[in-house]
Amino acid sequence: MNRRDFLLKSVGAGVFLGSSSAFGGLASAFGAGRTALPYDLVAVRGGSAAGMFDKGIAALGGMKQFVSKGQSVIVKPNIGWDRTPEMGANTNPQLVGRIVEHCLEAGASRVYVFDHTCDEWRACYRNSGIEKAASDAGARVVPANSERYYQDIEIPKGRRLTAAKEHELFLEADVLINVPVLKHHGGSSITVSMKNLMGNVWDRRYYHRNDLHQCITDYTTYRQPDLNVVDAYRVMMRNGPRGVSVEDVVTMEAQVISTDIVAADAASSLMFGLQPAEVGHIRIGEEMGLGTMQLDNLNISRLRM
Amino acid sequence: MRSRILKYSRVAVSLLFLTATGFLFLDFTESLSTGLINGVTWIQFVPSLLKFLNLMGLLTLGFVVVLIATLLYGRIYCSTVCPLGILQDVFSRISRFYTTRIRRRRPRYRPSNPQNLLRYSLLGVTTVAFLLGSVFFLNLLDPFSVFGKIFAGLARPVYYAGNNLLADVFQSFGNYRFYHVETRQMTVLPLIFPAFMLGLVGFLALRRGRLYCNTVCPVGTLLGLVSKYAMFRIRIDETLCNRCAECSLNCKAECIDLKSNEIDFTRCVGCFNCLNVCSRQGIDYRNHWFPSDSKPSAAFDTVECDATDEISDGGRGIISDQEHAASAQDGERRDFLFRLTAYFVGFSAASRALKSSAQETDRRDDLDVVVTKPSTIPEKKNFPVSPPGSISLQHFMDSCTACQLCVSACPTHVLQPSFLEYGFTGMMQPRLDFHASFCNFDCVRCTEVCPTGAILPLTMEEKHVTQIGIVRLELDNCVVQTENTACGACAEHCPTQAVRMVPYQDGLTIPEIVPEHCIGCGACEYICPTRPYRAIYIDGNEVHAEAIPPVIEELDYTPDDDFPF
Repeated sequence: MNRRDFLLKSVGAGVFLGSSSAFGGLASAFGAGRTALPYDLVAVRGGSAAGMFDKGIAALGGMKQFVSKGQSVIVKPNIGWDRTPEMGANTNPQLVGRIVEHCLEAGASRVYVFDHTCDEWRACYRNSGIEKAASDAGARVVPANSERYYQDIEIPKGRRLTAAKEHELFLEADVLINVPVLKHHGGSSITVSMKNLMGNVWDRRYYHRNDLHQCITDYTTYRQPDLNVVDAYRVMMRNGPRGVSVEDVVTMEAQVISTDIVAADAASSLMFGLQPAEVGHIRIGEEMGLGTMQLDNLNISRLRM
Repeated sequence: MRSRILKYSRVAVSLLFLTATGFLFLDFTESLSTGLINGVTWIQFVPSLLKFLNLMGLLTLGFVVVLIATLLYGRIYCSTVCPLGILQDVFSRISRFYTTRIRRRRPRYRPSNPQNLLRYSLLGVTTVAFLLGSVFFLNLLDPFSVFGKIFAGLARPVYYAGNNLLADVFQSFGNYRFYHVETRQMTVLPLIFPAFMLGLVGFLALRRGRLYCNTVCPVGTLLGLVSKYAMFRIRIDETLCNRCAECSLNCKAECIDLKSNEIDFTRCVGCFNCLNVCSRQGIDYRNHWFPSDSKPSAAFDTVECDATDEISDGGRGIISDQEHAASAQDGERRDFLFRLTAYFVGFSAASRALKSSAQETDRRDDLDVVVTKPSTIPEKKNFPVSPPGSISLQHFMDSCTACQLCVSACPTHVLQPSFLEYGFTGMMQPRLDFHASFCNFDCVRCTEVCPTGAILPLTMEEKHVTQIGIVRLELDNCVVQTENTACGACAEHCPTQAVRMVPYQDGLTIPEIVPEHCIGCGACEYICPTRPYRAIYIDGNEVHAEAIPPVIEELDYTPDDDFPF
């Protein structure tokens, strides 16, 4: 009971903090002494998923810019499908592992990794390779398969999604690092950072029933990740999000890192071959002030391995 | 000394089997290898017999081993391997504490006459029905299946709840070592039968030891006919017996008649309890085919027993209230028949009531779907969906004794006991319930564990093209059409591109189905957000078909290592 009260109060506090980055802002609120980021967005090409992250995060000043000593961190990959890494349906496991290592090196007290999967969750965790890679790196890979793990939240800025159930760890963690995989998506054109946050909530069908793109954006008004790392090492170009065969997948060897979730998705959609405005939730995201898809106005670092 | 070892090893083996078999029906962590599962079920008589008839393989000869063992050693199967029998021993054990505490002087068991009419009728009906191609009576009476129904249906929810409580406690300390297991897919109606059987078996075991095994169980009756001629049988040595009646009063099969010194070996379940309670070694387990000891030849003849057992009637009275017991038995038999009839009458009444109620309410939704605009076109399903590998509804319904092992093993909990979807005679045979869950594409667990061959083994490649049902799309229910918003949940979850999104209006895409790719996994139906009727759903295939996998075209993609921004 006490715990529930605490959680409810935390939600209240979050609402009180107000700004669009209510929780996303926590890291910077506590991270006194951090320097301003040198770039708005870092794009890397031509290396391994883990190697590109090493180079990209260094360009932003290292993980210490985002994670302070003693903080608890959630690394949120896409583990939606019972698919092997070659299928490109889930986030690259080596990338997840490497991000966990960076977080722990930066002094994180705990790093959690989980996702509300679409396929049977244990098969997803196991066959995606993420469970092993993340726990080998020192993360706590935790379940998200039951409604019992989810707590009610209010989304004051939501237009269609005004309330949801979110995994309880989000209410406790200090830092959220969003690690989506870029891929084709039959329902939402492509899935990147904003769509990946759908795995934070319990009621997925509500999204589909009540304007998918608007709901995706609505949730993002509630929770902005502290960092988005888009895995575009392998990219599923069609038949997404599940994919039919490895023929659907290309090895793009790319990565996009940004604190601006709309910019990260806009850059990724261009890499995929779509104009950002063609993707409903990216367009609405800019409209609702979550970030910008005008990449020309941003200070971008383009790196090659 | 030898006799004591017999009983203790019987207890040890039986507890091992009970634990292993029980755990098969409780485990949700997939921690048991298929080899272990098949090892435990291999020796179960009815499943093994059915598997032999389905597969004709040498690896399915567990039932022959049981028959041979029975011919050599009597019905030791009933006391070591049969989980329902051992479960009754557990109940009896409990009853012993109970009766010794309450009424110290009352004997535990009294010798009784066999319920020949009832037991041979039930065996006969089961056999005739089976020869005519129906497993209905095996579904009702096979001890392994009854045990499975009780454990999977009644014990499993308790086990899950216990696990979830444990997970809750750990979770409140921030520890996620244990995880919640879903119980929402379970339904109550199919559990009426297991609850009834648990009541019957438990009641009889508490009151009368193994009366169920010697009256209702067709396997017990069949093995009894064999064990009558077994090589090793229990025998009373008249030269040593002082007629203290300890053996008789401790015989849970109630088959030792001291008046005539006869042991009804059709009912003896080989528990060896009598050997241990005898203070004079006056009762012994001996080789009757090749007697090593020539001394007690006279006794040897009289131990021969007769299934009809008329002789023992003349010998009533040695134990004062045996007469009373016999009349009590008649009462119990009537009582039992009455209850059985009442049960079936009630059951079919309930079934009619359910069939008349139009649409099943959906209580198993994992998500609180807010119905803003209810869908209007009802789902039209002609057949239930049987598990992959079950070939056809006919094959499945003719081979499945509804033991619930696949239901317990299914990782997604899509397999659920049916209530009346297969009709009355197919009650509790598992079906795929796509309102509860869906069949994981890369999973063949049910085909690996099925002990009867109702679900035949499939390789992963075979499973990927086995069409157990076929997709139907009702666009008038679809949110893309009714609300003009994006969805695509069905196409998102479809593993074979049997449903895909094609251009619609206002830049939206709408589902289109390609039924020949469909394998009937039900992922689309499960995730479809429309209520009360789904826009996309699976109709079962009466005969499973082969799906045509989607043609994989080469991807038109030119590598580009530039930054498009």
